[in-house]
Amino acid sequence: MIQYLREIYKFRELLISWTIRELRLRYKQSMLGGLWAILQPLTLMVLFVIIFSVFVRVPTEGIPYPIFAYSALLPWTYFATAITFSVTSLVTNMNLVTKIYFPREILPFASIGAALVDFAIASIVLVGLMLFYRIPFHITLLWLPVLIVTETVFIAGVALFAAILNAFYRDVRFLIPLAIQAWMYATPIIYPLSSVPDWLRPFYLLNPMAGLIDAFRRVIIQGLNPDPVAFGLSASIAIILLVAGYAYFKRAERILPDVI
Amino acid sequence: MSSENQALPTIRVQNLSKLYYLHSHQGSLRDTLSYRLKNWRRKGGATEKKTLWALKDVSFEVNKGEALGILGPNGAGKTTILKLLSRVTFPTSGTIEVNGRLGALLELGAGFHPELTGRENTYLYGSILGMSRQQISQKFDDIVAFSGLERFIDMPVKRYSSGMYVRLGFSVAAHTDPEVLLVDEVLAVGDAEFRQKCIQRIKSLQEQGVSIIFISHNLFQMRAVCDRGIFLNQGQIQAQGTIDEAIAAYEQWLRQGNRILDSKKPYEFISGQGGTDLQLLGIEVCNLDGQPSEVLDYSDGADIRLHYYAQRDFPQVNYVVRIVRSDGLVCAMLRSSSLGLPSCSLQGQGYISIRLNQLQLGDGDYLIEARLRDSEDAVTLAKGSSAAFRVCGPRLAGDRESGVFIPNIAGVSVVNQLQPAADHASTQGGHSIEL
Repeated sequence: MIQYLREIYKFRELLISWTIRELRLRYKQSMLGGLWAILQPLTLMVLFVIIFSVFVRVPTEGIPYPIFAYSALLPWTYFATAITFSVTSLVTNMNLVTKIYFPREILPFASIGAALVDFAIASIVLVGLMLFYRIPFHITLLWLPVLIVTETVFIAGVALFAAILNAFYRDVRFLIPLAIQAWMYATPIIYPLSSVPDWLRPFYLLNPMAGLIDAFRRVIIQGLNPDPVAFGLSASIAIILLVAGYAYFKRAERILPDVI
Repeated sequence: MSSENQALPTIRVQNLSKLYYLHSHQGSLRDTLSYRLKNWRRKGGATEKKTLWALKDVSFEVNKGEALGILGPNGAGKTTILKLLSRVTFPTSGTIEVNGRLGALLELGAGFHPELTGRENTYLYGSILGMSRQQISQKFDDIVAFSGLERFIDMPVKRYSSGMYVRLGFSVAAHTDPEVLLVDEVLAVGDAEFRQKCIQRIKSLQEQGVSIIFISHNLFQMRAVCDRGIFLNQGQIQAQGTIDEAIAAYEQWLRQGNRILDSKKPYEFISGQGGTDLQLLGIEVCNLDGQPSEVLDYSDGADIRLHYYAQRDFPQVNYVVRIVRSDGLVCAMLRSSSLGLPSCSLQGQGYISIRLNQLQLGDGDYLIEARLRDSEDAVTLAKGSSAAFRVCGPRLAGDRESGVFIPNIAGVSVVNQLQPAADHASTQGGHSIEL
C-alpha cells in the first residue's frame, strides 16, 4: 500500500494535469461551463423542495427544507459525479493504457479530483443558503475536512473497483447509474436519518453514505458532532474498501492492457 | 556512480516469454457467463484455449550507449518486447531489468487529446512520460523549436495534420532526458527532412550514453542507428549479432521458401511482332550499386535491367515498365514515349538500365513487367516479367490504391555487352542519358 502511495506521489504532477484536463474537457464548448457544477445539485434541490415540502411534508427536525436538502445533495453530487466519470475512465483512455506506462489509478483518481473541484464550486450555494437562513457558522464546521477526506476515501474505493471491473465487463457502465439512483433513496437525503425505524438502522447504516451524509448535515446545520456509531462505521467501511479496492486494482491492472 | 554500476547492462532480459489468449471471452458479463457455461457443460473435455506465444524464451542485454535493432516480419513479437520493457504489459515468465529512466516512443501522440491545444498537450504528454511541470516549462521552448510548430502551438491539435501530430509527439518524447529510449516504427511517418532530424537526435542521445532499442522496417535507418541487432521470428530469436549480421540473417530468411511471392513461377518471355529479331532475355532488379537484390528498402533506389538480345539493329526502341504489387496493383508505370525519354538504340546483347531514385513502395512483394516497343510505341516487340522481389517499408493501411507512386528516374542507359558479329565497335559501352 505504501509502495502504491509512493508511486502516486511520484506521479502527482500527472494526477494534477489529468484532473485539469478532465475539467477543461468537461466544460469546453459549453456556454455555462463551471456553472453546471452548481446547477445539478441546485435543480434537484428545487425539485425536492416542491415535492417534499409542498406536496408531501417530510419532517426535517425544524430545518428549512432547502438547506436541509442542499446540505445533503452537495456531498451526494460529489459522490455521484465522481463515480459516474471514473467508471469509464480506463476504457475511454485505452489507447493510452495500451501504449504508455503510468499508474493506471491516476485515471479514476483524476475523475474524483475533477468532481472535487465541482464540489467546491457548488459549496458557494451552501454558504449563500446558510447566510440566507441565518444559520450560524458552528465550530463543528471544523469536522468538514475530515468528512470530505472520508468521503473521498470511500469514493476512491468504489471507483477503483468500478473502473477496473468496467474494463473487463462493460456491463458495469450501465449498472452504475442505476445503482446510484437507487442508492440515493437508501441515503438520508430527502428525509432525515431519524425517520429510519430503529429495527432497520443497523442494516441501513451499512451504507457508508448514510453515516456520511448525516454527519455533513449535523456539522453544517445543527452544530452537532458526527454520530460516533454511524460515522465510525462509514469511516471504517471506507478505509477497508479502499485497501481492498487498491489491492484488487493493482492485481487486475497487470492484465488490463491485454484484455481492454 | 560506482564502477560496478557502469559494468551493469542497462537492460537485461532473461528467458522472457509472453502468452496471449486469443479467445476473447471478456467484454461483457453475458459473454463470460455463456463462455463459462459452455466449458462447464463440456466438463472433462479440453477447455477451449487458443493461445499464442508472442515471445518465447528471449534473452538479450543492452549496455550503456548501445543501440539494439530488432528486426523481423510483422507479428514477430517486436512491439511486444517494447511493451514489456515499458511495463505496459507484464511477462508470462522471465525477467526484465531496466536500470535507468525509460523514454518510450510507442505511437507518438498517443496521449494527445484532440480538443486541447498543442501547448496543453505538450504539458500533458510530458507528464505522462514522467516529466515534472517545471522540467517541461524549462524545455518548452526547445520542444516547440524542435517541432517547428511555433505558429500552431496554441491551436487545438484536432486541426493538426498527422505529420504535425508526429512532430510534436516526437519532440516531447525526445526531450524527456531518458536513459533508455525505445523507438517503435515511429519514424516511418512525417516528411523526410523531419525524419532525418529525428535520426540525428536519436544518434546524439546515443552519443550521450543513452541506450536505445530501435524497431523499424527501414533497414537503412536500422544500419544508420544500430550497433547490434536481433532477428526475431514467431517470438523467438533467430539471430543475434552486429546489425549487419542480423540484417543478413533477416534477408536470408526472406529469400527462403515462398516468402517472396511467386519465385517459382517461370519467367514468361514472349517475342512479339518482331519475331525472334528482338528478345527480352530477363529482367533483373538491382540496387543502385548494380548488385542484384531480392530485398530492397522502400527508401532505396533500384536499378531495373532489361536484358535483351537483338539479332539486328534496333535504332529506336521504346519501353514500358510497370511495378506490380502481389495483389495486382500497378504501383508505378514508366512509358518512355510519354515521359519524353529518348528511345534506345539496341544492338547485339546487353541491357537497358533504368535507375529509380527512391522506390517509395510499401512493405510487400512486387515484380516488374516490361515491354519493348517499336519506334512509334505502337507495337510490342517483346515482353516479360521479372522474378518477385520484396520491399521492406512502412505497412500501408486502408485503401487499396495507396502505394501508387510516380517514379523518380535517376537515369536510363543502354549497356552493350556483346556486339553483333558485324562491326560498330565504336558503340561499345552504349549511350546513356542522365536526368
